Amino acid sequence: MSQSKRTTQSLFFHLHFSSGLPISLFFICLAAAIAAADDWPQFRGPNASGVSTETNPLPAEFSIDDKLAWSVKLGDGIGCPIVVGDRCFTTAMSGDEQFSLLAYDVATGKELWHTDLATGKLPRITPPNSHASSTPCSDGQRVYAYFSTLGLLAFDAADGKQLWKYELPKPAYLMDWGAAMSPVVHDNTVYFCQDDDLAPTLFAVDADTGKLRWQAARPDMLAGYAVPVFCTAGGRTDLVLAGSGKLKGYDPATGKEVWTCNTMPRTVMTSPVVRDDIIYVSVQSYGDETRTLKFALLEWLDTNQNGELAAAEVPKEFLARFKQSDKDGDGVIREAELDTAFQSPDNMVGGGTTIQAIRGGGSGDVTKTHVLWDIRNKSPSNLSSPVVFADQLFVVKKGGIASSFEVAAGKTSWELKRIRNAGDYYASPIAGDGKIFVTGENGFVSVLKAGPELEILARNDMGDSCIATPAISNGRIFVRTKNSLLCFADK
Amino acid sequence: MLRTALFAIACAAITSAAYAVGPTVDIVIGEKADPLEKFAAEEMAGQLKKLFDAEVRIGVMLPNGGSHLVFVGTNGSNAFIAKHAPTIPALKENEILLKSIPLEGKSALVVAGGDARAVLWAVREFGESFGIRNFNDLGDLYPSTSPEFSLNHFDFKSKSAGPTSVYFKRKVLGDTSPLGHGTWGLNEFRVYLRHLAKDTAATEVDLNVGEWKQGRPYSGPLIATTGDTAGRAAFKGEKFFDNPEFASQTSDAGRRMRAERLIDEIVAAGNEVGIVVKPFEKRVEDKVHLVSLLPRLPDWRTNVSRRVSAGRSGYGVLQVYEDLLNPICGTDVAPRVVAAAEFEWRVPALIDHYEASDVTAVRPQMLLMHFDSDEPPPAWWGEARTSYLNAMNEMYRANTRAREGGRTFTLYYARRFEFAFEYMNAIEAIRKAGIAKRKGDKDTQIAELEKAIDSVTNACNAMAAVARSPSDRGVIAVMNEYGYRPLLKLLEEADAAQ
Repeated sequence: MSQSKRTTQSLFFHLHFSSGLPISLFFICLAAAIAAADDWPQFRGPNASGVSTETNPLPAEFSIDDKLAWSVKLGDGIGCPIVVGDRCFTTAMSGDEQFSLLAYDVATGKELWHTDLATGKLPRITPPNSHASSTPCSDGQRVYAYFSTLGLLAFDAADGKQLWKYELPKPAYLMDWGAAMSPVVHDNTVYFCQDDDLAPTLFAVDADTGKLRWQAARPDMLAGYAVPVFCTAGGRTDLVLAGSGKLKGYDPATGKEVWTCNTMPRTVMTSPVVRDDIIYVSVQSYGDETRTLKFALLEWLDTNQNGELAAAEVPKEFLARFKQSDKDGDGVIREAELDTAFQSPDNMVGGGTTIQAIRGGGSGDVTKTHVLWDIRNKSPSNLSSPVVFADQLFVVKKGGIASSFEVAAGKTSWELKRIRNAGDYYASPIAGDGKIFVTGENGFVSVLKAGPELEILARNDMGDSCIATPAISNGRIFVRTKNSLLCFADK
Repeated sequence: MLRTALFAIACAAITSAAYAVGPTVDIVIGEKADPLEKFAAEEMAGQLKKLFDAEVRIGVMLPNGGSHLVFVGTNGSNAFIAKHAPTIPALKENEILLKSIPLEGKSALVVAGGDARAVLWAVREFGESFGIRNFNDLGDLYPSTSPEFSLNHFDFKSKSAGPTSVYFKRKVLGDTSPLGHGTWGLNEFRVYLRHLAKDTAATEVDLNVGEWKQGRPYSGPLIATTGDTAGRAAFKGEKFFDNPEFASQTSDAGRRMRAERLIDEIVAAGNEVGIVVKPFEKRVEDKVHLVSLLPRLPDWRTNVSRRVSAGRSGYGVLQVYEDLLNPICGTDVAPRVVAAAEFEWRVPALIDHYEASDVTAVRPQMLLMHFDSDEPPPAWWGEARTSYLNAMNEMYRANTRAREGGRTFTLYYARRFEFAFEYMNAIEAIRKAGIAKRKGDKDTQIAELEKAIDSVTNACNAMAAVARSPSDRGVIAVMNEYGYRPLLKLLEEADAAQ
């Protein structure tokens, strides 16, 4: 098990006994080292919160012309960088059917190793998704990565040697979105949620051996992309997963569902964040609560627009499900059959938006008991997850339109204000050192002062389009653009 | 034995990669084959390799061995055609022939034309018979599923009737806007000239080099493509929208010299494919370019009559589109593309009816002129916007349906119609912002300017997602220079005035 913080004690030993430094210089170094560095070990950092709690200062102004410590060229990919110890890991497509996991020295950007994997024939995806879309995770000893045609893989963090592989069913999507889920590692277990449209399942794999510990089918789910998060409440730690219609808590040791909060809309692409014993979600799903899957099927899969679905109009992977929905067996899904086609009748949820705070630690159906507050307005993004920082829940969406709410009661601090950086927002905001970093697809990272007022500190050019969420570690900001990995530091 | 013991290669012989697992094909051309016939043979070799993973050799003598045999050329240039296929009639200019003939108990294929150009058309027809489709803006698209290899089923003779053939002899590349040819590098010209040679009867291209002679790719200063640039992903980090051949030159004199060499290179590239490139100089001083930046689906309605005259009866518009798209996109895509086209065709008709070509013409004031107008957005703009929205949705449906085929064509046009839809949104919002400003309604002015900026950004991002050519990137560049950046300034001024 690796350390997640480099302690002052070990640093004391190293500096004083091995370097022969004068004691005065030692204490200067010690003072600097007290600002201990955090790892950023998975998608959006510790527990996917997007928050760095280290006290190292982070620059407000930085760009490709300013405070760029190093940069490296990368192939196509939108998976986020992660940082553990002195290594930064990321992924990229390195050939037409080749995927790579790469490791860089965080101080210099020197490539430490890369491991290439043949992917085989690649599945259909919808741009701007990429085949290298998943963010790896690491416990310092191993790096765990996911690829849709390969499954879950583990590599030695020191040299990139593949240690194990756990094959997963290939995901299938009615709308061909493609895979973009990320694994997380917790208590020596790799958790991976594959909420596709065909066989949504939560998997728990032993981090040492790659053997399956348990899997939990989620048959009432539709395609979604939230990562699992952990919430400690009521004397236990639950694995929490946001999905179609429902936020669920699982026992991480067994996969048993412990509670469900049925307040989510149909399509959940964002991830929850946890602070203390409260889980915060921000979700936007197209349409209103009446817009069940049927409407999307009729608008986009019914390509000849005759109001019916023929087998040839759905992806081949769904043929068996098609036959189940074709109740009268006439080869066409129509009328009442469409109402529940491909969507579980136990979870006929529609679209809508919500920002919610849900208390963890419940049991059974907590829909009526554990929702602390629930805002229904136009603030949420369908893609960019919220960040909870400085007692505010901050969200940003397309157009650079942002909102902020007090976490205590969901009171609006300010809403739907533009941060004056237009365009798409795929990356999620992250926070640290009293600042919120908001990455636009246009390659500009806006930096806001954290707090109840909107104050824009800077707008920084990364030189290229950005879809991945950046990482923060040891006073450095790591940004994965379309074609590069950049590292910024104040000094 | 008619087949010789030795196989001598007198001209360029192309062999595929060492590990080809497909058939072996020998293409035999005449000893004195025209360069265009040699190009045709190379083109055919490329098709065979890509379609069938074939190992292909090009030579002037009959090979040994049991390979598949193809004779390429004219009756006059390829003696083998005359000697071994006495039943093949002489072909007139523009006529093409694809015929399988018996040869020593096996079958060989004759790919012939009435002249060297027609030989290239015959090769194009060969590729089309196996599902290859050529598009001006997308190049060659190959069928989504590999066809079965066979050379013994051909019996086709006609006056060339390709899908987009146009019977003109001269083409003018005169556009000096950023959308024009000025940013094309030599590779782009090669692709363009080869497309012209394969798909049309053009033998001359007049090339406007007026801006190049000044060391510029297009009229006006270079457009920056770094920093705050909508759709910047299309430019891959380049600082300016420039001609790649000039970009490395550090002085105006260097750029002009490079331009002179480029002109010579383009002329040579034209000669390779039998097209005479004639440079001329004409500059557009007032920077108003009579070119629209809105997308057009290829209009294949005219191909109905051509297909009918070629003997393919029962052809309507849908059949033409199915013929063209089924191999590369799969079945049931064409009806959606026809539906999209029918929506899209309404817009030029509206523009003509209202004599409003200035709405889409490329020039510095193309977006800002709407801010200065006191007239509310006309109703026909809404019709145009709705037409593009419907066209976009139909192309997205086509894209969905093309999942078992290929999506290059469908996604390209879906995003381009998305661009057009957002463009119409943008000009409407700009018009409303200007009116609000003059009424003193600051809140509406700012809200509409923000909407306009959103729309321009969305338009550029849609185009950037599928930009394949310098002209595509030129659209994004002008939208930034003449739209996004001036609108940001207007918004800053409006914010400051609050």
